Amino acid sequence: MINIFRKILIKPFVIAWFVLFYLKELFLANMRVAHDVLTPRHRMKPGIIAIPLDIKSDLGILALTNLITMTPGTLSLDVSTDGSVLYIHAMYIDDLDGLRREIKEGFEKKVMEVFG
Amino acid sequence: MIREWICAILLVSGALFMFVGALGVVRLPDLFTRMHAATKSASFGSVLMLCAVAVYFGEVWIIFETLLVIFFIFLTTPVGTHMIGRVGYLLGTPLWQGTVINELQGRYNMRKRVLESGLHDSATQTGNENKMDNHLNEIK
Repeated sequence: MINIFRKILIKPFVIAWFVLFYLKELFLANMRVAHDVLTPRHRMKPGIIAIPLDIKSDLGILALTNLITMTPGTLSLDVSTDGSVLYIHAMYIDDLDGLRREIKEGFEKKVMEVFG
Repeated sequence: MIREWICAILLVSGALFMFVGALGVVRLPDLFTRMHAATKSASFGSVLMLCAVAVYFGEVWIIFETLLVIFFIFLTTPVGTHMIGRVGYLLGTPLWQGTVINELQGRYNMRKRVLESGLHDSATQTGNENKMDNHLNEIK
């Protein structure tokens, strides 16, 4: 009973919050890329990094890869065949562990709340 | 009047983001960084323009349609980028010399046609293969 209540009443708010978060990240992403394109010197430090995944469902992985592609300086390249590691291309690697944590705790947690 | 001004601002900023995307494709140094510009700026530009359409007409049905178009843009653009980036990597497109790290290096196993995760499974897999070999030897 409580479960049904939670699904019907709380889920829309979680999804709406997720969409707002997505739009904010998209806007920040664009500002950063635009800044790097329009200024003459390239400040970026690109690279390919591996991120271990906790999400197991295919739909969740799809949502996460899409979110990563549309947000600040990161682009998902491939998922390992067993679905446990995601490889992304990042444009600004100043702090490798910080970036990993940001994706794990920021995006993955939010995606898991919606699809998990 | 105000509605037209909002439309104009949205259209111009959308066009500006699309221009930035096109410029990025020319200016950035390698395939992957170019994909960043091509995906994000172009889709954001089209979203702004679709918002202008929704604001200008302001009817429920048209707003619903524009939201649907935005939803599908967001669903399909990353998939396209993902495929192009992946094929580009598999074909051996060189990375920019300023690239700091490449953790995908050597993870593609072409013989088995899998992408290894590099966490633990390669160790367990070889373990299983050894067990299998022992088993086969015992049978022999």
